[in-house]
Amino acid sequence: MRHYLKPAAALAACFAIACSAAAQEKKEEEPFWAKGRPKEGVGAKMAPVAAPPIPVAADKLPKLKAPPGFKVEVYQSGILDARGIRRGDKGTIFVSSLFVAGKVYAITEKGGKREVKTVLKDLELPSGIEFRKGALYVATPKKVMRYDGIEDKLDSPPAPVDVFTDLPGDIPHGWKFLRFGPDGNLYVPVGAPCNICEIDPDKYSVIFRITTDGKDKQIVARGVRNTVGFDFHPKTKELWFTDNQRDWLSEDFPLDELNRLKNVGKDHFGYPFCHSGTMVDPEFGWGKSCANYVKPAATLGPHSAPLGMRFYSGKMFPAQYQGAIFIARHGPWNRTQKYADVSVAYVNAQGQVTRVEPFLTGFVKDNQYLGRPVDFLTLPDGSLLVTDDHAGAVYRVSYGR
Amino acid sequence: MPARSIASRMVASSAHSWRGQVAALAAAFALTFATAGVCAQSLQDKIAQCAACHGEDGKSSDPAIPHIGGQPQLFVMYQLFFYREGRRKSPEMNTVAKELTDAELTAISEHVAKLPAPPPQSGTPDEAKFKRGAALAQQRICASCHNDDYSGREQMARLAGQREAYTIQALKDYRAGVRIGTQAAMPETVRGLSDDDLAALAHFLAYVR
Repeated sequence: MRHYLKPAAALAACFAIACSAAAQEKKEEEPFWAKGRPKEGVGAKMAPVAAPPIPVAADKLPKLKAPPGFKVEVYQSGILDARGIRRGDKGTIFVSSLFVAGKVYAITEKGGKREVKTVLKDLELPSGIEFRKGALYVATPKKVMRYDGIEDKLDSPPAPVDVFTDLPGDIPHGWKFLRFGPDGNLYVPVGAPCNICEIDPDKYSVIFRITTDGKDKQIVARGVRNTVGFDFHPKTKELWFTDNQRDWLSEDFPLDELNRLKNVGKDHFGYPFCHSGTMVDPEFGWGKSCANYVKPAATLGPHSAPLGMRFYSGKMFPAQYQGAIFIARHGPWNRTQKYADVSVAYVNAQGQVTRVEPFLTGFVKDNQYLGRPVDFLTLPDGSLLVTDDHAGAVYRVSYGR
Repeated sequence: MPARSIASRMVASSAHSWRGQVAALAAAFALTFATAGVCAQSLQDKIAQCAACHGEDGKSSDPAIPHIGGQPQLFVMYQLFFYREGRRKSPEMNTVAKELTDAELTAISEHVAKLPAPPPQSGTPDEAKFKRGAALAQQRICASCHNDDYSGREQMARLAGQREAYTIQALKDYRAGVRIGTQAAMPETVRGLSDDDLAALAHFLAYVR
């Protein structure tokens, strides 16, 4: 027997060497974020944009412009890293944050005077928030938590109840956006843990529908790189979402997406194989066809970073805005020419986007960000609140009064 | 906060700190002010506190304490902010930064950024380690954000000439996810690197010219 084992052992040794060489090679690959980055020139020098960790004073905030008849005012300044925004049943405005602050704030009003307080702190990337039946839901990359009866306990919030903990917890694209669907379930995204890579399609690049007891989790959409903004059509109840496409490739491509989910649990939106509905990926797209993936309802500009989106159903704005979608284009880091705005997408009765145009502008000057819009909340009077994580503020857009 | 209080916190924290001696030194420094009847409230006093550990010219004499001279202003501001908020852990820095106002974050970081950048580590590098570090820096594209001469910009640190022990710890903290930064870039970049890799990177960056 012995002499038969020898070649087998030699083969195993060869295999081990080959494996270790492969592991070594893999280890020395460029980091995920750099895949597709040009090797030289201005493109090679682009880096994420960080604002100082100090909110901009109210009188120094950008002067934003809206269409005629609209008025823009500073609703609240001094909210560092203001990301998601939701309203409690009793009128408390909750504002989340991400990398910089790690907090959830509450804006309250007493005798016509507004006050901001930090309600939760020392959380890891707590960008996803929602409010339902007296409870504030907060999502980090690792889990979704619920703070019951929080509006009565803003100064000493209750310990959170874990709603759902079966999330991968990666930092890249692991931060969350949360929304309750008309079905009463919580919709939770898990982005790709990289710029562009092959992923486990049941774990990443999906939007989950999770029951509020956390016991049932279903995938409703696949092939989603990183969505941090979605909402449900007020009439059809379909889920629409923005999606941030891969980095690099070109100054002018890929174009970020506005998507419409028609076939729950079946639709695949292309990542990592097809971008913007038109181009297969130069590395992962071989043998694939964009014809096999759902095309975006609209494209939103190269590297535009569309974050929050909201169907408008308030009573204040003119009729043309009924059922239209406000979209926060946070603006690119991965493009030399910067731009950012709140855009509006008009949707016809067939659910097609007929036009996308800028609505709120003035976030960029001399190719530098003065502010960057993130998320929306429609107040009961129909006015629209917009968060800005770059300047640390919340703006209010109203019409005609 | 009066200086005595800062000092007592530092003494208290030093019991649990591997940098206890340094903390004690800083405490003694702060106490000097307190006993002299000077409250460590003014900006100059706070800047003097930086100098006590990081050196008058931003060049530290302790291998475990980073040089801070020539760091980009936004980077320094962010670190002071993270220390103040307790989101970056260091018993000494958390204590020192705890009471800083936003205006002081700005003023101190502007001051630190103007201090001279440290020269490359003196002496002869370990050739194999240096080469390994240089290769890793190229593979992980450190220069893309930190500049070709590793001088740093905006929120991204100066790496050139930095103390090796400090750089190793910083990279380990990013790898472990206990330090994240303003974006996911650093945890992503150091993912999968071994302790030896981090040591080689830190060695290269300390000596790079």
